[in-house]
This record gives sequence, structure tokens and C-alpha cells, in this order.
Amino acid sequence: MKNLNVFLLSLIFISCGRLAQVPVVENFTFEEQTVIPFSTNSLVSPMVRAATIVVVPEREDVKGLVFNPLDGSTAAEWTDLYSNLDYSDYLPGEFTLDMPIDQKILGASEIVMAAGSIRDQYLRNLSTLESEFSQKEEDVRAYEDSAGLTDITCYYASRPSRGTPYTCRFDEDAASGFTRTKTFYSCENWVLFSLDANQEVHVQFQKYAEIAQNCEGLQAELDEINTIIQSRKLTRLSAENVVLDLLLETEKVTDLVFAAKAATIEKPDSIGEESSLVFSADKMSVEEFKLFVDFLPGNSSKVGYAEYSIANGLIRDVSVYVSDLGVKKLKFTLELPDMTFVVNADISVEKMPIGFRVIDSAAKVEFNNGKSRKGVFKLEFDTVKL
Amino acid sequence: MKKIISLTLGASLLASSCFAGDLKAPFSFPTAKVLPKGIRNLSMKGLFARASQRLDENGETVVLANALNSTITFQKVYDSKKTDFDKASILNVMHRLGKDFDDSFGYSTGDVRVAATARVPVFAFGLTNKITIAAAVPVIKSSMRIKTGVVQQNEDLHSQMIQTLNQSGVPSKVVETMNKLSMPITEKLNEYGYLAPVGEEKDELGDIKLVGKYNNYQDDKVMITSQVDVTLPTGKDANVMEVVDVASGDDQTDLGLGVAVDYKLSDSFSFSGGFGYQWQLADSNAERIPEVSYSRATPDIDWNTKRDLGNVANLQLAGNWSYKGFNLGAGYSYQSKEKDRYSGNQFSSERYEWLTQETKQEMQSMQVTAGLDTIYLFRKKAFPAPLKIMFTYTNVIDGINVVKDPLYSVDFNMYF
Repeated sequence: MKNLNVFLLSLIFISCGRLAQVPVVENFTFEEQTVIPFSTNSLVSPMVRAATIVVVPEREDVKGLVFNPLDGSTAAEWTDLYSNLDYSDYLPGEFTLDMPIDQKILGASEIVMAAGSIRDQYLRNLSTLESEFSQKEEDVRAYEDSAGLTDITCYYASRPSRGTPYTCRFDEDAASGFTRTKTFYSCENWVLFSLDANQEVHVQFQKYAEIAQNCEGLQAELDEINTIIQSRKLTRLSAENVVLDLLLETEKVTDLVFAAKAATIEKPDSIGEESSLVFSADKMSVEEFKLFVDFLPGNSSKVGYAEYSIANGLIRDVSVYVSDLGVKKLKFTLELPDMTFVVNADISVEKMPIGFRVIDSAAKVEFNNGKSRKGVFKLEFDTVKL
Repeated sequence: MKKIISLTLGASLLASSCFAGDLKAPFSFPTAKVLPKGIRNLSMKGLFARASQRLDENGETVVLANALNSTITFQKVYDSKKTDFDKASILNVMHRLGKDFDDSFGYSTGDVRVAATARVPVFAFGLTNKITIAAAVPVIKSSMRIKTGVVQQNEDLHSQMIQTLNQSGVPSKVVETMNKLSMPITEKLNEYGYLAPVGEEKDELGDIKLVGKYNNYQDDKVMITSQVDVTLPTGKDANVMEVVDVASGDDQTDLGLGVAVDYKLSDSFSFSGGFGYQWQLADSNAERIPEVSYSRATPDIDWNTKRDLGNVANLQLAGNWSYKGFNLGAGYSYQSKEKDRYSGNQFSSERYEWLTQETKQEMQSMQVTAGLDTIYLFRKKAFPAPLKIMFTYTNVIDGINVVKDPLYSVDFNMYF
């Protein structure tokens, strides 16, 4: 019987110690990209170039929103933004009461994002265009210097004694009766002149025509770039205004404040200071931080620029730290009249025109009436050196 | 991504199905035999099973971790976002890149291997010549290993995505996204509050089963016995915090009724058959409630989900040959389990309904068994005790939503 017990026990232990087989999986990853750290060598302008302080609406906020932005006083700006987005078909053209709430909230949110991304995209684009424009200006100057513009003299018919009667009209000053001798110095002004009739046989005509053609071509290229630059600037402004327009309309159907504007280099307060942020030398603390903030004429209890700073205690709990993901962050609490922004922003830096940015795309916003929302807080600065 | 990439992680259920409330491959034949009055029987059953494959909803064989092998598309990234703002940000990136919901970054990969051994001591006692009672106390030792990975594809889309995020000036998002694209399953599980998917070995008490058998009829050829049983929730259900867990029980009580018939063809040949029905009683249990129809991975837990696991019916047929202590047998079994039902108040009913997907089960299996006994010798006073040892191989031949791997068992019986 004892042997049987041993046998029985051995059966119990036979089952011990079985291990699962080793799993096998496919694995392939691309090389990882890295982010540029904000180092102590970076030199950043303390003045805020641009700022975005907005609260992101939620479903209940847009439920009652009725808005047809493409058919109103702000239609031009909305149209400008939409015509510059190649995915505008996905964005709502209007907000109605019977619109599905999913479509309404996702559409409103995406408009805010699309506006932000096109502003960044066009800022980068503008920098490139402005470089192109400068280069083209250099090309024109080089041509003006080498093409012999001043070799062609032009005399007025009324002063035949001053030379060969090769006459030009000075369109800019036609009313004055062509009283002065003119010499062509620049392509820009060249188009202001034209030959009188029947002088094509004159010895200078061929040279004149060649310069006229070249100047016209160069100037057209300059004008083309300049037109795009102006258009991009306008679209950036339209994008900003579209967001403000949308948020102001949303304020009308809620009791919340959705947007604030800060006095910055790009949008200064005409009578006061601009916002600024000063880091310590080791970039691990903040020495000075002040924002001059105003609100839309919607639900805000206070309108007009006012200072919100570490000095007056309305910016508090400021700290700079490196997150678990290795990203340098700026954390602080901003107490505005109707709400408190708890910001935990990423710090990023890249070459100009983007420069140095402090962004929290999911800031906690606690309203004084107890409601809470997410917000976008973004400050942009020029970098002097990376 | 638990779902970054919103991944379906049904593997936990599959793994746990080895020994918990799901269908189990049978490891013994039906028998109408009861013990004579006062006779005790101690048997020790040892079961060994691996789990690496399963039969899916269509009866096709897939790997156990099939749900972990999932394409990573914009749709799944979008679905995994909780807030409208986060969803809109995915839409915006997708629209900016000119992509649509079906565009894929690659696919996640995963493999789960389970080995489980159950030691089941069963003590039976003949109360009368017609009534036998028994108790089975399983102890389950399991070993589970899991590995996850990713195969990144579409390098252009990958770099466009990273570049777009980089341009947004939020490095945390870039790092998070890169991590999610390189470790989709681990990152998503972490985000959803699961414990890290690592291998583990456990030794746990399973669900204790109490059985009563009553011999209704017996003559020289035929024996008919009815059976009632209760399965007690002494085992541990799968941990709701783990994406893959080998459960030793299902935390609820089962009641079973059955009938077994033995037909003796000759002294050496006999046939047996059995039919049983098991009610799995409704209860409340902590469950992860799916966010989307195609994935079980979810951050949302309803700690008080009303649960009614599907009832189980089974039919077994077997033939046995026994001659002077040598035993051979072969059998077939069919089992069917109804769909589970879940409900609760915390989330939409649609989400509870998704939990019931792939819970209807069917299993057809074949068993062969061989062994020795000393009963013949004991009766002839040539052996000191009546013993019996049987080895059984069970092969799952068809089914839906069940583990396909074979089951091996050894059954040692001692009568005293």
C-alpha cells in the first residue's frame, strides 16, 4: 500500500513544471526620428511673437449652434480659409440644429485645428517666399546694373535742344507736360515709360525693347511672389479670425468664454506692453512671465487688456521639468477672470520662422461656474540661436 | 495599441477557455457505473493541454493570438480616441495627408502560448448500491507566454505622420505616436490600464465539482444512471486587468443534469453513451466593456456587469474493450454552448452586446484511450488492490470558438 501511495503522489508531480512554448512574432520597425531638445545654448527672444488661448467646445456647447459662416459678414474670411485648404470638403459649411451632433462637434474642432495648421504651414511658407522674393530682388538689381538701363536716354519733345529727338512719355507725370529729362534707373520704373509713336526705327529702340521685355519678366516674377506673400498673410489672418468667429458664435449659445487674445509682437496692444517670458540661464526655471490678455465681446466678465503675471500672482505654480518621455515642459496655472487654465505645455524649438514654441493642446480649463473643458494654449517666440 | 491601435484582444478568453466556463475537451468516457455500497474510490486524473490554436467563428483554424495580429489603420486609431477633440485631431491629420480610414501603417503581431496541467483528485463513495457521490478538486498549474511586435509598412505615410506631428510643435505627441507605432500592443494596453502583457506561471485551485449518481436501471446487459452535479466557484476567473490570463474558474456556479447508459455487448465489449445539460447560473462580474465591435481591448470596466454564461449540452458515445486487465476505448463527443449574455447600466447596451460576440461554442472531439487495471487480478487474489490506470488522447476535430489543441490525460484509480 505504501508503494501505491508513492505511485499516486508521483502522478501528482508528473504534471508539474510544464512550460508554454516560446512565442514567435514578426517584428519590423522603421528608424525612429528624434525631436530637437531645448538646450541651454538656445537663445530665445523673451517677447511673445504670437499667442493662442482658446477653449475647445464640447458637444453640449455646439448643440444649439446655428451658424452659416459662408453667407454673412465674415464670409470672405471663411471662404479664404476654405479655398486654401485642399480638404475643406470635409469641413462643415454651416452649422444647423438638425445637423448630427458628431458631425457638428468634430467639424467645429477640426476647423480650429485646420486654422492652426494652416497658420503654421503658411508661416513656414512665407519664410520661403520671402527668401525667394529677396533673391529675386537681387536678381533684378543685378540685371539693372548690367543691362545698361542708363545708356538709353530719353528726351522730351518739348526740349529738342537737349539732344536727338528720341522722345518718351513719362506716364507717371503726364499731367506735368514732360518737363524734365528722364533716365531709366530701375526695372520697377521702366514700365512707367513708353515710346511715342513712329520711333521704332530709332537706333535705341532695340535695346529699349529688350530691356523692357526683360524688366517686365523679372518684375512679373517679383509681383507673382509678392502676390502669394500677401495672400498667405491674408489667409493667416483669415484663419485666426475664423476661429475667433466660430468661438464667438459658440459663446452666444453658452455661458462660457471660449477665446482670449494676448498682446504680442504680431498683434500688439496699441496702448500697453506686449507679453513676455524669460527663462533662467540654465533654462530650467522661469524668471519672468507676463501675459497681457483681452477677451472677445461675448461672455467674458472683463474686456480690455490686463496683466496676468507671476508678479501679480495670476500666473502661479510655474515649473520647468523634463517629462518621462524626455520632453522639456513648462507647467503653470493661469488665472483669468472667468476661468483657470492649468497648462502643462511641451517646449519645442526649431529654426525660424517657427522658432520657439510652448504648446499644450489639452490644457485643463476650470470655469468659475464649475464647468471644465480642454483648451489650447500656445505661445510662440523668435529664436536667435538654436 | 490595446487598442492602439485598437486591437482585438480576445486571447484572454481563449486562453482561459482551457479550464474555465467555456467548452472543454472531454478526457473520460461516459459511464453508468456506480460504486457498491461502502466502496470508496480515489482517482487521480492528470490532464495536460497546450493552447496555441483555436477554431474561430467560422470553424477555421487560427492562432490563439489571432486577435493580436491586426492592421493599424486610421480607422482604428480614430476609434481608440476617447474625446471628440482627439478624434478630430486624427481626422485632421488624415485629411491633411489626403488619406482615408483604410490607410494602414502596418500591422501588430502577437503570439500567445499556453500550457496547462490539471491534477484532479476525485473521491467517490458508494452510499448505497444505487447511489454514489463524488467530489473532484482540480488544481491547475498553468504557464502562459506572450510576445508582441509590429511590422511597420508604408514608410512614406509613417514619416508624413511623424513630420505632421512634429510641425504641430508638441514633442510629447511625436514621442507617444512613435512609441505607439513601434510598440502598438504594449502601449495601448498601458494606456487602457491593463497590466503589462508578460508571461506567468500559476498554481491555483479550480472549480470544485460535486456529483451524485443514481442507478435507475440495471440488468445483465444494460445499466442506466442519472447524474446531478454542482460546480462551485472555487477557481479564479480571468483577471480583468490582464489582457491574457489563464483562468482556473469562472466565478459562478453551474448545475448539471445527465443520464448515462452502458450496454454490455459481451464480457469484453461494451458501449456507453451519455447526455448532459449544464446550467451556468447568472451572476455579476467585473468585465471590460468593448468600445468597438471589432475589439475587446478597452479601458472601460463595469465592475458589476450582469452575466449569464451560455448553458452547455453534451452528448458522448464510446466503445470499450476490456480483457484481463487490458483496456482500449474510442469515443466521440459533441458539445454545444449557448451564447453568453451581458448587460449593465454603465455603458450602452450595444457595447455589452459586443461582449457576447464569439461566445457561442461548439466542439466535436474524438478520444482514444488505453490502459491497464488490476481488477481481474484482484478478484483472483493475485494483486493486493484493485487499481486502474488509463491514458487518453482527445483530439478536437471540429467546432467554433474553441481551443483546437489536443488534450492528454492520465487517470489513476484506486478502489478500497
